[in-house]
Amino acid sequence: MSNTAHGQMPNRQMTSGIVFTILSGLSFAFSGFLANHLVDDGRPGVIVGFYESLFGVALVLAVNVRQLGGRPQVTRSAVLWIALAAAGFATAFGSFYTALSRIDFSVGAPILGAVPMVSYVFVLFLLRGEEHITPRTLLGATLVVVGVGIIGVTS
Amino acid sequence: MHSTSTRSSRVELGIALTLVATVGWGAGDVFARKAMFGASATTVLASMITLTIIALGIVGLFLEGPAAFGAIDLRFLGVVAIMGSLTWVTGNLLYFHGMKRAGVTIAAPILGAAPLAAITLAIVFGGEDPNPWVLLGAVIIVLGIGILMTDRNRALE
Repeated sequence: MSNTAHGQMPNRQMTSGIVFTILSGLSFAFSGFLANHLVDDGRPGVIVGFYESLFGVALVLAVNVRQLGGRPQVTRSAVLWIALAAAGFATAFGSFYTALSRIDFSVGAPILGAVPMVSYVFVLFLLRGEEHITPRTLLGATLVVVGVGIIGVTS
Repeated sequence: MHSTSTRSSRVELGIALTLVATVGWGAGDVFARKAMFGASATTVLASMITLTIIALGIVGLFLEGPAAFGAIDLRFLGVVAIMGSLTWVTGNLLYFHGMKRAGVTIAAPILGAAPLAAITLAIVFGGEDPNPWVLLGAVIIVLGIGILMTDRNRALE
Protein backbone atom coordinates (compact mmCIF):
# COMPACT_ATOMS: atom_id res chain seq x y z
CA MET A 1 0.00 0.00 0.00
CA SER A 2 2.87 2.29 0.76
CA ASN A 3 3.73 2.61 -2.88
CA THR A 4 0.35 4.16 -3.56
CA ALA A 5 0.58 6.53 -0.67
CA HIS A 6 4.17 7.62 -0.94
CA GLY A 7 6.64 7.71 -3.77
CA GLN A 8 6.02 7.33 -7.44
CA MET A 9 3.65 4.63 -8.62
CA PRO A 10 5.28 2.09 -10.93
CA ASN A 11 4.25 2.98 -14.46
CA ARG A 12 3.05 -0.52 -15.37
CA GLN A 13 0.87 -0.70 -12.26
CA MET A 14 -0.63 2.69 -13.10
CA THR A 15 -1.29 1.60 -16.69
CA SER A 16 -3.02 -1.59 -15.56
CA GLY A 17 -5.13 0.49 -13.19
CA ILE A 18 -6.21 2.72 -16.09
CA VAL A 19 -7.02 -0.30 -18.30
CA PHE A 20 -9.09 -1.84 -15.47
CA THR A 21 -10.97 1.43 -15.08
CA ILE A 22 -11.74 1.66 -18.82
CA LEU A 23 -13.10 -1.93 -18.80
CA SER A 24 -15.20 -1.18 -15.74
CA GLY A 25 -16.64 1.88 -17.51
CA LEU A 26 -17.76 -0.30 -20.43
CA SER A 27 -19.35 -2.74 -17.96
CA PHE A 28 -21.24 0.03 -16.19
CA ALA A 29 -22.51 1.36 -19.54
CA PHE A 30 -23.92 -2.07 -20.49
CA SER A 31 -25.37 -2.64 -17.03
CA GLY A 32 -27.10 0.75 -17.01
CA PHE A 33 -28.57 -0.03 -20.42
CA LEU A 34 -30.04 -3.30 -19.09
CA ALA A 35 -31.29 -1.63 -15.90
CA ASN A 36 -33.11 0.92 -18.04
CA HIS A 37 -35.00 -1.88 -19.80
CA LEU A 38 -36.01 -3.51 -16.50
CA VAL A 39 -37.34 -0.35 -14.88
CA ASP A 40 -39.11 0.59 -18.13
CA ASP A 41 -40.98 -2.72 -17.73
CA GLY A 42 -42.27 -1.45 -14.38
CA ARG A 43 -39.74 -3.06 -12.03
CA PRO A 44 -38.94 -0.86 -9.00
CA GLY A 45 -35.37 0.46 -9.20
CA VAL A 46 -34.57 -0.47 -5.59
CA ILE A 47 -35.65 -4.08 -6.19
CA VAL A 48 -33.53 -4.25 -9.37
CA GLY A 49 -30.55 -2.93 -7.40
CA PHE A 50 -31.19 -5.43 -4.59
CA TYR A 51 -31.24 -8.49 -6.85
CA GLU A 52 -28.35 -7.19 -8.94
CA SER A 53 -26.26 -6.82 -5.77
CA LEU A 54 -27.36 -10.27 -4.57
CA PHE A 55 -26.03 -11.85 -7.76
CA GLY A 56 -23.03 -9.52 -7.57
CA VAL A 57 -21.91 -10.67 -4.12
CA ALA A 58 -22.32 -14.34 -5.13
CA LEU A 59 -20.21 -13.78 -8.25
CA VAL A 60 -17.54 -11.72 -6.46
CA LEU A 61 -17.24 -14.39 -3.76
CA ALA A 62 -17.07 -17.11 -6.42
CA VAL A 63 -14.35 -15.30 -8.38
CA ASN A 64 -12.31 -14.51 -5.25
CA VAL A 65 -13.02 -17.56 -3.11
CA ARG A 66 -9.32 -18.34 -2.64
CA GLN A 67 -8.36 -14.77 -1.77
CA LEU A 68 -11.21 -14.38 0.72
CA GLY A 69 -10.78 -17.86 2.13
CA GLY A 70 -8.48 -16.89 5.00
CA ARG A 71 -9.17 -14.29 7.67
CA PRO A 72 -8.96 -10.95 5.83
CA GLN A 73 -6.84 -8.21 7.37
CA VAL A 74 -9.10 -5.22 7.95
CA THR A 75 -8.33 -2.25 10.16
CA ARG A 76 -11.00 -0.66 12.32
CA SER A 77 -11.00 2.55 10.30
CA ALA A 78 -11.40 0.53 7.10
CA VAL A 79 -14.62 -0.95 8.52
CA LEU A 80 -16.01 2.56 9.02
CA TRP A 81 -15.05 3.62 5.48
CA ILE A 82 -16.55 0.43 4.04
CA ALA A 83 -19.84 1.17 5.82
CA LEU A 84 -19.84 4.75 4.51
CA ALA A 85 -18.97 3.56 1.00
CA ALA A 86 -21.83 1.04 1.13
CA ALA A 87 -24.22 3.81 2.18
CA GLY A 88 -23.02 5.92 -0.76
CA PHE A 89 -23.28 3.10 -3.30
CA ALA A 90 -26.70 1.90 -2.02
CA THR A 91 -27.99 5.46 -2.29
CA ALA A 92 -26.50 5.75 -5.78
CA PHE A 93 -27.89 2.47 -7.15
CA GLY A 94 -31.33 2.93 -5.56
CA SER A 95 -31.62 6.54 -6.73
CA PHE A 96 -30.29 6.02 -10.24
CA TYR A 97 -32.38 2.95 -11.03
CA THR A 98 -35.47 4.68 -9.65
CA ALA A 99 -34.58 7.72 -11.76
CA LEU A 100 -34.39 5.56 -14.90
CA SER A 101 -38.13 4.88 -14.61
CA ARG A 102 -38.66 8.65 -14.99
CA ILE A 103 -35.96 9.69 -17.46
CA ASP A 104 -34.16 8.06 -20.40
CA PHE A 105 -30.78 6.40 -19.87
CA SER A 106 -29.34 8.80 -22.45
CA VAL A 107 -30.37 11.69 -20.18
CA GLY A 108 -29.27 10.15 -16.88
CA ALA A 109 -25.90 8.71 -17.93
CA PRO A 110 -24.30 12.04 -18.89
CA ILE A 111 -25.35 13.56 -15.55
CA LEU A 112 -23.31 10.81 -13.89
CA GLY A 113 -20.36 12.21 -15.82
CA ALA A 114 -20.13 14.75 -12.98
CA VAL A 115 -19.11 11.99 -10.54
CA PRO A 116 -15.36 12.85 -10.85
CA MET A 117 -16.01 16.41 -9.71
CA VAL A 118 -17.90 15.16 -6.64
CA SER A 119 -15.05 12.73 -5.98
CA TYR A 120 -12.51 15.56 -6.22
CA VAL A 121 -14.38 17.55 -3.55
CA PHE A 122 -14.17 14.55 -1.21
CA VAL A 123 -10.52 13.90 -2.21
CA LEU A 124 -9.66 17.45 -1.13
CA PHE A 125 -10.95 16.71 2.38
CA LEU A 126 -10.28 12.98 2.84
CA LEU A 127 -7.25 12.07 0.71
CA ARG A 128 -5.19 15.21 1.07
CA GLY A 129 -2.09 13.31 2.20
CA GLU A 130 -2.46 10.38 -0.20
CA GLU A 131 -3.47 11.86 -3.55
CA HIS A 132 -2.93 15.19 -5.19
CA ILE A 133 -5.23 17.08 -7.51
CA THR A 134 -2.73 18.85 -9.73
CA PRO A 135 -3.84 21.68 -12.05
CA ARG A 136 -3.43 19.30 -15.00
CA THR A 137 -5.57 16.53 -13.48
CA LEU A 138 -8.20 19.12 -12.61
CA LEU A 139 -8.10 20.43 -16.20
CA GLY A 140 -8.34 16.87 -17.57
CA ALA A 141 -11.28 15.98 -15.31
CA THR A 142 -13.02 19.27 -16.16
CA LEU A 143 -12.68 18.56 -19.89
CA VAL A 144 -14.16 15.07 -19.38
CA VAL A 145 -17.14 16.51 -17.50
CA VAL A 146 -17.62 19.29 -20.09
CA GLY A 147 -17.39 16.79 -22.96
CA VAL A 148 -19.92 14.45 -21.33
CA GLY A 149 -22.13 17.48 -20.61
CA ILE A 150 -22.05 18.58 -24.27
CA ILE A 151 -22.99 15.08 -25.41
CA GLY A 152 -25.76 14.87 -22.82
CA VAL A 153 -27.29 18.26 -23.64
CA THR A 154 -27.13 17.85 -27.43
CA SER A 155 -28.12 14.17 -27.77
CA MET B 1 -51.68 20.80 -19.89
CA HIS B 2 -52.02 18.70 -16.74
CA SER B 3 -50.25 15.71 -18.31
CA THR B 4 -47.41 17.95 -19.54
CA SER B 5 -46.93 19.30 -16.03
CA THR B 6 -47.02 15.75 -14.58
CA ARG B 7 -44.43 14.58 -17.10
CA SER B 8 -42.27 17.61 -16.36
CA SER B 9 -42.33 16.90 -12.61
CA ARG B 10 -41.51 13.22 -13.28
CA VAL B 11 -38.48 14.27 -15.33
CA GLU B 12 -37.42 16.79 -12.68
CA LEU B 13 -37.65 14.08 -10.00
CA GLY B 14 -35.67 11.73 -12.23
CA ILE B 15 -32.93 14.30 -12.69
CA ALA B 16 -32.91 15.09 -8.95
CA LEU B 17 -32.54 11.38 -8.15
CA THR B 18 -29.70 11.11 -10.68
CA LEU B 19 -27.95 14.03 -8.98
CA VAL B 20 -28.34 12.23 -5.63
CA ALA B 21 -26.84 9.13 -7.29
CA THR B 22 -23.96 11.27 -8.60
CA VAL B 23 -23.14 12.44 -5.06
CA GLY B 24 -23.52 8.87 -3.73
CA TRP B 25 -21.11 7.44 -6.32
CA GLY B 26 -18.65 10.32 -6.06
CA ALA B 27 -18.50 10.08 -2.25
CA GLY B 28 -18.65 6.26 -2.26
CA ASP B 29 -15.59 6.08 -4.54
CA VAL B 30 -13.50 8.14 -2.13
CA PHE B 31 -14.80 6.30 0.96
CA ALA B 32 -13.91 2.99 -0.72
CA ARG B 33 -10.47 4.33 -1.59
CA LYS B 34 -9.97 5.32 2.08
CA ALA B 35 -11.01 1.80 3.14
CA MET B 36 -8.37 0.33 0.80
CA PHE B 37 -5.63 1.76 3.01
CA GLY B 38 -6.72 -0.75 5.66
CA ALA B 39 -8.06 -3.68 3.62
CA SER B 40 -7.64 -5.31 0.23
CA ALA B 41 -9.73 -4.09 -2.70
CA THR B 42 -11.56 -7.44 -2.85
CA THR B 43 -12.37 -7.40 0.87
CA VAL B 44 -13.63 -3.84 0.60
CA LEU B 45 -15.83 -4.76 -2.35
CA ALA B 46 -17.25 -7.98 -0.87
CA SER B 47 -18.06 -6.28 2.45
CA MET B 48 -19.49 -3.26 0.70
CA ILE B 49 -21.85 -5.26 -1.53
CA THR B 50 -23.15 -7.17 1.48
CA LEU B 51 -23.96 -3.92 3.27
CA THR B 52 -25.43 -2.49 0.05
CA ILE B 53 -27.78 -5.50 -0.23
CA ILE B 54 -28.92 -4.99 3.38
CA ALA B 55 -29.51 -1.27 2.80
CA LEU B 56 -31.40 -1.78 -0.48
CA GLY B 57 -33.40 -4.63 1.09
CA ILE B 58 -34.55 -2.44 3.99
CA VAL B 59 -35.39 0.50 1.70
CA GLY B 60 -37.18 -1.86 -0.73
CA LEU B 61 -39.30 -3.30 2.10
CA PHE B 62 -40.35 0.18 3.21
CA LEU B 63 -40.99 1.61 -0.28
CA GLU B 64 -42.34 -1.37 -2.22
CA GLY B 65 -43.41 -3.92 0.43
CA PRO B 66 -42.39 -7.59 0.71
CA ALA B 67 -44.51 -8.61 -2.31
CA ALA B 68 -42.18 -6.71 -4.67
CA PHE B 69 -39.33 -9.09 -3.81
CA GLY B 70 -41.41 -12.10 -4.87
CA ALA B 71 -42.74 -10.67 -8.13
CA ILE B 72 -39.86 -11.99 -10.24
CA ASP B 73 -39.58 -14.32 -13.21
CA LEU B 74 -36.78 -16.20 -14.96
CA ARG B 75 -36.16 -13.46 -17.53
CA PHE B 76 -35.77 -10.89 -14.75
CA LEU B 77 -33.38 -13.15 -12.85
CA GLY B 78 -31.35 -13.77 -16.01
CA VAL B 79 -31.00 -10.06 -16.75
CA VAL B 80 -30.09 -9.10 -13.16
CA ALA B 81 -27.55 -11.95 -13.09
CA ILE B 82 -25.85 -10.41 -16.14
CA MET B 83 -26.13 -6.97 -14.54
CA GLY B 84 -24.66 -8.30 -11.29
CA SER B 85 -21.70 -9.62 -13.23
CA LEU B 86 -21.26 -6.41 -15.23
CA THR B 87 -21.71 -4.02 -12.30
CA TRP B 88 -19.93 -5.81 -9.49
CA VAL B 89 -17.39 -8.17 -11.11
CA THR B 90 -16.21 -6.57 -14.33
CA GLY B 91 -17.48 -3.17 -13.13
CA ASN B 92 -16.73 -2.42 -9.50
CA LEU B 93 -14.15 -5.17 -8.91
CA LEU B 94 -12.04 -3.93 -11.83
CA TYR B 95 -12.70 -0.33 -10.86
CA PHE B 96 -11.61 -0.93 -7.26
CA HIS B 97 -8.42 -2.63 -8.42
CA GLY B 98 -7.96 0.20 -10.94
CA MET B 99 -8.53 2.78 -8.21
CA LYS B 100 -6.03 1.06 -5.92
CA ARG B 101 -3.39 1.07 -8.67
CA ALA B 102 -4.04 4.44 -10.32
CA GLY B 103 -5.70 6.37 -7.48
CA VAL B 104 -9.18 7.85 -7.42
CA THR B 105 -7.88 11.14 -8.84
CA ILE B 106 -7.08 9.44 -12.16
CA ALA B 107 -9.64 6.60 -12.12
CA ALA B 108 -12.77 8.68 -11.39
CA PRO B 109 -12.56 10.97 -14.47
CA ILE B 110 -11.82 8.00 -16.76
CA LEU B 111 -14.91 6.23 -15.40
CA GLY B 112 -16.81 9.50 -15.78
CA ALA B 113 -16.20 9.22 -19.54
CA ALA B 114 -18.31 6.02 -19.68
CA PRO B 115 -21.16 7.82 -21.52
CA LEU B 116 -18.72 8.15 -24.43
CA ALA B 117 -18.71 4.33 -24.61
CA ALA B 118 -22.51 4.30 -24.55
CA ILE B 119 -22.63 6.81 -27.43
CA THR B 120 -20.04 4.81 -29.39
CA LEU B 121 -22.12 1.63 -28.96
CA ALA B 122 -25.22 3.51 -30.13
CA ILE B 123 -23.36 4.70 -33.27
CA VAL B 124 -21.64 1.40 -34.09
CA PHE B 125 -24.41 -1.07 -33.22
CA GLY B 126 -27.50 1.14 -33.14
CA GLY B 127 -26.85 2.84 -36.48
CA GLU B 128 -27.27 6.28 -34.90
CA ASP B 129 -25.89 9.26 -36.79
CA PRO B 130 -23.97 11.52 -34.37
CA ASN B 131 -24.42 15.28 -34.68
CA PRO B 132 -21.33 17.55 -34.72
CA TRP B 133 -21.82 18.46 -31.05
CA VAL B 134 -21.54 14.81 -30.04
CA LEU B 135 -18.29 14.54 -31.98
CA LEU B 136 -17.04 17.77 -30.34
CA GLY B 137 -17.95 16.35 -26.90
CA ALA B 138 -16.11 13.13 -27.73
CA VAL B 139 -12.99 15.04 -28.82
CA ILE B 140 -13.03 17.09 -25.59
CA ILE B 141 -13.38 13.89 -23.48
CA VAL B 142 -10.47 12.25 -25.30
CA LEU B 143 -8.41 15.43 -24.83
CA GLY B 144 -9.26 15.45 -21.10
CA ILE B 145 -8.27 11.81 -20.68
CA GLY B 146 -5.07 12.50 -22.63
CA ILE B 147 -4.17 15.26 -20.17
CA LEU B 148 -4.93 12.95 -17.22
CA MET B 149 -2.67 10.27 -18.72
CA THR B 150 0.25 12.66 -19.12
CA ASP B 151 -0.04 13.80 -15.50
CA ARG B 152 -0.83 10.41 -13.99
CA ASN B 153 2.38 9.89 -12.03
CA ARG B 154 2.37 13.27 -10.36
CA ALA B 155 -1.14 12.71 -8.96
CA LEU B 156 0.13 9.99 -6.63
CA GLU B 157 3.57 11.38 -5.82
